[in-house]
Amino acid sequence: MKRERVARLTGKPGNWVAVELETRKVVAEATTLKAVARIVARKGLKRTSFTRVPSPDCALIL
Amino acid sequence: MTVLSFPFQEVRVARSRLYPAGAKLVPFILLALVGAAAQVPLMLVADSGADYTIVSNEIAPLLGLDLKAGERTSFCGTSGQQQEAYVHRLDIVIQNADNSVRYAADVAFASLPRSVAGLLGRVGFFDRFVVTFNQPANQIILRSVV
Repeated sequence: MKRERVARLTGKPGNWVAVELETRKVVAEATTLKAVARIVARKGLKRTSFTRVPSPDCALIL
Repeated sequence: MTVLSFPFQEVRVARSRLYPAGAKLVPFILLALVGAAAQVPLMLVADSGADYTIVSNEIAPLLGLDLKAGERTSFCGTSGQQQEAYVHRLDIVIQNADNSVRYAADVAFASLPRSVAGLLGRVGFFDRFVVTFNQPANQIILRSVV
């Protein structure tokens, strides 16, 4: 996969974000998923995906 | 066999001995959970250390799920604390620009640490794909076995 398809996920760790799949940029950010989903719906953004900004020092293993 | 390929996602972090470039690579996978009310697109971390696939309970209402209608179970996080989770049967759609795979899987919903939207674990993800992490080439390859 080409390098330019890789996004640099920025934002405050712990926040929910919506990433636009074409540009791989964060287009919405909030502390709750509900709020991010509302922003995405209001902006009429279609090709997005939700995730959370990982904490820099947090292991992800459960 | 369907083959899907993804790049790792870069997450900006403070420069340190572990991350001299000020970024770390995280194996995020693009997918959608399919519920009765909606399809929720997500980027979840592929984590072979997770026993099963588990996502934040904040996602349940967007899918139209009654969270506590699922089968109750419990798990231990890194904190060592026992936490409850509710398991629902859902369709998962994983796709990139070239291919897509859809399958039904048991997904647990729980209150997760603020740094995690969800984890693709050994049940519900690693049992469905041969997963190759090729971090030097910045590539995650999924070969479907479903």
